[in-house]
Amino acid sequence: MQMSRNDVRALAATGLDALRRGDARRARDALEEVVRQGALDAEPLLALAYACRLLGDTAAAMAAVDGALALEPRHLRALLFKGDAMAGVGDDRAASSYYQFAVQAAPPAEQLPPDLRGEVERAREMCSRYARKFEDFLLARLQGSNSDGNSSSARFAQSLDILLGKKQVYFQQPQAFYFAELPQIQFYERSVFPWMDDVEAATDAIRGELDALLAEGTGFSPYVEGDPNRPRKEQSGMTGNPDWSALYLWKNGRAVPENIARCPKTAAALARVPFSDVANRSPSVLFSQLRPGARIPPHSGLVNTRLICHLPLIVPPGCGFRVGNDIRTPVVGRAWAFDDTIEHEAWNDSDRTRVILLFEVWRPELSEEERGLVRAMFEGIDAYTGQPPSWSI
Amino acid sequence: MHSLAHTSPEIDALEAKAMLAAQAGREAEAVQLWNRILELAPNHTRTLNALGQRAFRQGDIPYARAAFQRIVEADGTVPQQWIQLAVACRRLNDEMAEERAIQGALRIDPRDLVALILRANLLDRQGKLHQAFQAHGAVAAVAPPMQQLPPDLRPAVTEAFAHLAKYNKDKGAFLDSYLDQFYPTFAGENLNRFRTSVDIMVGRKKRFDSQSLQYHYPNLAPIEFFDRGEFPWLDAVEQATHEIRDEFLEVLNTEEGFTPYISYPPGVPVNQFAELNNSPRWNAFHLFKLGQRVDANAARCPGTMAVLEHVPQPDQAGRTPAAMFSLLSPRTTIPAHVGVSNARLVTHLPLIVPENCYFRVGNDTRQWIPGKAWVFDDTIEHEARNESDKLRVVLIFDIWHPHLTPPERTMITALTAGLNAFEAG
Repeated sequence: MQMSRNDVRALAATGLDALRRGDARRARDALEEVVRQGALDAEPLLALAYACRLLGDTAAAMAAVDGALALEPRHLRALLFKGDAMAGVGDDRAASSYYQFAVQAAPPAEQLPPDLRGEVERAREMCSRYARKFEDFLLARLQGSNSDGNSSSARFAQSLDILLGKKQVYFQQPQAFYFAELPQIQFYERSVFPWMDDVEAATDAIRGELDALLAEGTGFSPYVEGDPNRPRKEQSGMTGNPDWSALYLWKNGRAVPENIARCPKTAAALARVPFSDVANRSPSVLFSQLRPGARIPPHSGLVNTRLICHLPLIVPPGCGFRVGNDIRTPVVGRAWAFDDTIEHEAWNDSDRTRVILLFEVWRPELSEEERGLVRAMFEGIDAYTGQPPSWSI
Repeated sequence: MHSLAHTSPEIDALEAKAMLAAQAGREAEAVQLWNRILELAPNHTRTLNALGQRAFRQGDIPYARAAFQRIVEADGTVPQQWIQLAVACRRLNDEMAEERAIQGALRIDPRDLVALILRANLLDRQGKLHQAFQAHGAVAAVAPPMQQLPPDLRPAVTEAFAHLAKYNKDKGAFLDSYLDQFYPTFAGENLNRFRTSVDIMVGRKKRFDSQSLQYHYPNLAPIEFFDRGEFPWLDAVEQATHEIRDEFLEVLNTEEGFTPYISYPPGVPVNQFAELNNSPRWNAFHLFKLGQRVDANAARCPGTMAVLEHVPQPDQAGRTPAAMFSLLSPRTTIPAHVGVSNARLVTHLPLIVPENCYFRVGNDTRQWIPGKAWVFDDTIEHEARNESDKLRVVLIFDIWHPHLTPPERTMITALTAGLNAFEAG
């Protein structure tokens, strides 16, 4: 018998009322009739699912909630109900995928009624519990079958972290020039740069020259200097800020003779370094000073044809450096090379100043021909604009 | 605004009266009242603004400029105050003052869209090509999507984009001829990725990254089509083209064993493949499917199976290798998509290729040539088109990414077994 729309609505209200009173049987009878009449939204179906669950009829509850989700795939309570139902029958994976979807579909907590807020929080906890379970299982499994690939391949370990959602993928984001088809590597393997031996071996001598410069207290200037002719970029207050300052031995490809004269041993230690040499741009070689409590906000560099090298010289505890998903602590005398077009940041949470020697090298993957062409191309750009570039490492 | 400092009950009363007069259209009376306010408080910004705007509307630009100038001197904390001064200076052709006013607005808010538009416009008029490019770039960077823009700003933003495109085009042409003097020095060298980098810089090509849907392997280079030299075993595959094609034609005659290439289980969202889902327009005959040999089909293609034995097929149970004859029907397009994992690459050996068939990976669009294989990274966006009236057939199979070491491959195989065990448990 076809009921009028109003009668169906009244019957649905009766069913909901019965459910609230805990009379599952009456609720089920009424709501089943509503569904037979053709439910227009998910509510009566979901209410029917609750009623069936109270009556212990799992199969009917599942059918009803599936019906609700067919009408409204992002219905929050229906997703949570389904997650609980799957968890109830021991299907962790299915449960986890419904909980996950519920967490994603949920509006911000402050827009939720209080009872749902708790429910969404519970779904979030279930998700992380399943994620931990998955991770434990997988790691145990890999330990068992280990062909020592796990320890020998840092990139496999990283792939695993990405798979488990513990790390995200970072891509190169150069601001000025993107060279195609290069591997996207955050920190390079030390073994790629045999010439780093010379630089590291000279750490004490370089530190001695740095100490003399610091004692004089001149020659350092803010690292980020504004250019009045260019749109001011958001540098989160770093522009002109003495918290992050530099003393240059080479700046944008030009030697700074008065500073080099004060650091002969540093200059000598860099003799074998494959500096990226591009007119008006690079290399820069500098002592970079980060004041106590200062933080260089996340940013990405200009071109991916060079790498940045750091030789840490003065490193109080509480200093850190992040490139992409890799966070490291600088160690005095241990150099590293990283791709500065991948988002990176630095901080000094100590109460003393941090100082590193910083310089630019060609990316090892670039052939001599390619380096020559990059050089030529930037010269071409300067010829085109007729003016030196606005450039700061 | 600091006009509060100039308020007094008397000024407030005058201002209220002036407003009523202006609203009622009694202009002369309003002006008289405003001038009276300025006698009492010469820097009363609201009054200066009312008089300046009125003068500007009536074409008395020198008066408007003087009023706007006094506002920024007395207050100057709001970009709009500087912007209206800049506009007045522009009407008077005083470029120096216009520039100062624009800078004034940008000092307060470096991302003020109107001020950025005015600056780009000024630099255009001054013929400062390269600075204008930077300025238009700032407009483009700051502007919200077109439909969210007030209609009166849309033409200026559209022009900024056009300006950028033109500048990049000219710059590209200049660099091409500039670099022409260097290329001959390196004749015979592979400079493709350098050329691509220039194309990307001047906007002739887009940048494409690897976007694995399921498993991303880090530190690998996003390469669209790989260099043939990385795969010495391809020679043997290509040499077997005739034999492989003959086996395929045998199979085709029987019409058995073909299944739609895309076949999602019911209930799974079908995304861009809605049209091809379960469709015979893109059919496959599988030799390996989801890591398993399809015995019934393999038995009918012994020559092809023998060739595949010498190929570095990946080993991920339940997932890969796959190897199949892929049949793309006439007038059929496989829409742009990305694959599941960059740990494996995909090889094509074209067998039957009518005219007007195309394959694009990232920036690189190629045509299949029977017997000429290639290897590409299917986690980079790619698509295929058969615009002919005939069937296109390619042998497709997965291989390990060549830059994975043997221990890495072993670990990936173990990882897959672990995933399968977890999902089974």
